Amino acid sequence: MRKTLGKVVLIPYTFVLLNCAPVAGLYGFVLGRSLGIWNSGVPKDTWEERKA
Amino acid sequence: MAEKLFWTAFIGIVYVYAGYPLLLMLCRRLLRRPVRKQYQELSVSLVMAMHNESKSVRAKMQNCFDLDYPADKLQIIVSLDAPTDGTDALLRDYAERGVEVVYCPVRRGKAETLNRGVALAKGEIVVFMDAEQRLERGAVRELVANFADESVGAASGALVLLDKQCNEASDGVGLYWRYEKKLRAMESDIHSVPGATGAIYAIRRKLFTPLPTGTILDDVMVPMRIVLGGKRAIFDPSARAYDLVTQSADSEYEKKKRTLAGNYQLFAEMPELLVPWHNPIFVQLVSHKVGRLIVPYCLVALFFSNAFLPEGFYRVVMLLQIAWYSMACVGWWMSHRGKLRRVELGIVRD
Repeated sequence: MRKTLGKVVLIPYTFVLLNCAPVAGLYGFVLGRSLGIWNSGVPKDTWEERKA
Repeated sequence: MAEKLFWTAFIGIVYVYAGYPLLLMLCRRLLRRPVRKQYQELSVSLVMAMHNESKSVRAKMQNCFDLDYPADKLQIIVSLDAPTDGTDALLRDYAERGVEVVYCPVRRGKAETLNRGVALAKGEIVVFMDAEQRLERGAVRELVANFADESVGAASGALVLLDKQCNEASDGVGLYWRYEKKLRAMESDIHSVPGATGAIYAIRRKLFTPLPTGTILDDVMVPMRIVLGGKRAIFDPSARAYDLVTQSADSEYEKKKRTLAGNYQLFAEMPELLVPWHNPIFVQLVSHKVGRLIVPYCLVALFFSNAFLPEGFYRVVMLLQIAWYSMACVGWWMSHRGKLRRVELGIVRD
């Protein structure tokens, strides 16, 4: 029950967050931030690490 | 005034998330153009751009060797963009197995890295992929089969997000991806998708033109150039790449922020995309890509215009909106409570 509720409230949260992204994206674009370069220099985790 | 604003915003949101999918369903019934898929073994170049991938490069190489495709028809190219974590050293072990590595000592970004990789490609078909995701054994075979149809210039595979139990994810981000794939499948059935999946997509090599430096969305620019050139960019859900949906809504937000900034960049660099008589999938592009850029402003307009309309139906909509955003706040709290607790404990300890 709690798990289902958790899943349900994640839907509006994800929706709101994903709708903030275009505004932040426009802001980044207007400021000319260099987004074409890789996101981070830190190696990403492996599948196994992410699963754990 | 408030009423006009309310209805403009309302119609905009409903069209992007419900009206457009319904329109696609209707058009698919009337205008379906099936791809004449035929299994064939064309020469293929797999091109991967990497920066710091020391943790995933071995698994990725093994994944490439395990593909169900004749080894003599497969060229594997890894284009490196100034790695600092030893990815280049790890790749040396694979040189004897035929993996070709292009190394650039100065960081130039993904687009330039891809350009250098494709310059080495000899295959008739170039398959682009990312380092993190794993391809299904038959994914390349499925993609290549689409090129038996001469009208197809690009073919995108599907990214399947898995949860920790390795089932297709169905909450938050996973649900959003499922919706996105349904849209793409319908768009593809009619003509083309306005963008491929970066994790797995293929094109005819002769149709590739080098990407401008700093391009954010290579996986949209490459297929859209092909569509403007008169070929189709289709979506094939049977060519699958897998990734784990361990990323939270927050990391999906970071990804989306970058992607959506990329859309602005794309429209600035390819204004012909917004000209209906130049772009054969103008309606799809505007409804899918431009629509998503406009919806946040419609949401704000809907909320504030609704505040001036307290009667009957409008009151119900206002209550629904308040409930929706309250749930979003609870969602935020739930996904950050671990972090908040750590901050709280840190404050107590200090």
